[in-house]
Amino acid sequence: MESDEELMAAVARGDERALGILVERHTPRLHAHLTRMTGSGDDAEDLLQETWLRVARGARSFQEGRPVRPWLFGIASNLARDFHRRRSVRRHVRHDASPGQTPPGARPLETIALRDRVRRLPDRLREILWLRFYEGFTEAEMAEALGIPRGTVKSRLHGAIRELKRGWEGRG
Amino acid sequence: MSCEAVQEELTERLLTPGAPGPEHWDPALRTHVQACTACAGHVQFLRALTTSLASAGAAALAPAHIAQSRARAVRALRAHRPSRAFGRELVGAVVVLALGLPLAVAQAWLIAQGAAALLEPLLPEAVLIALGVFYAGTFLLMVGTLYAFVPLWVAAVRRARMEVP
Repeated sequence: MESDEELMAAVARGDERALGILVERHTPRLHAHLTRMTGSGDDAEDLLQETWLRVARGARSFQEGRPVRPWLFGIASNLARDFHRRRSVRRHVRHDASPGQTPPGARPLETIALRDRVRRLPDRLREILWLRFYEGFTEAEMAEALGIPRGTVKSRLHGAIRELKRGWEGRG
Repeated sequence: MSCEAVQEELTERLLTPGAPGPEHWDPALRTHVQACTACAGHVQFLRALTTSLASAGAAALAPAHIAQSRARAVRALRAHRPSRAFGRELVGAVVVLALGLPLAVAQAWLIAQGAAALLEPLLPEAVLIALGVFYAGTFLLMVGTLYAFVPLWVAAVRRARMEVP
């Protein structure tokens, strides 16, 4: 199987097949990320299309050897942030698309309360937590995706954990 | 190992979906967690958090939407690929503008002649010449700018046409 980087190098040369493979490989996860960030499946679909348009438009200037997945998520995250900025009244960000999915053995109230606390985190902290947990991004990949130093990634991740833990410890 | 370092390490390990269990941890880390209430509490918190995050389902995406994304992206890629068609369209646009150039020059000349006739009795010759130079310079600058934007304009129109389904 060709790596993302090999495919992107081919896309930069105008290879439509390589672009198609990248779209099919990454669209579901990008969509999930955008749905979490925008809180709406419909808005996520629009931003997803825009993400791939930007990839296609910027393919020729893509720096060879650069990791592709963080770049893709970086484009998607930027679009989602712009989307929020354009909407002066921010929508209620939905963190959970299906509330009845508490795993067996978990305490439902605790799960819901923590989910709610994650939802109330500042965007910059929540985004880091999502990229780490759902996408399995390393510090370096998150730094690449968000265009911030690794130290900032680390401090934001631990800041998010501290914030959530404070609320969790204070639960009745 | 300090509690802070242990908790950072635990965060790194436990926030990874499908991460290996405590039996695969470094013995020093395991021993610390067994002996330290604060760090054991951190493990408990991280487990609750990952359970909560894992329980959040993502909305499903219709396969048709993936196909649509793919088709639009491919169209955009084609639109941004250098091609001979772009050259042809550029030449076409330049020819159309060049055909209009004599008209623009003639109009500018008439305006200059009219203005000169009006201002001749009022202004000294040196001032008239200076105004004429300024007028000609402005005209040339405008025409030059217009022509400089032609390739950008042709490219933008072409890309927009190709990207639209």
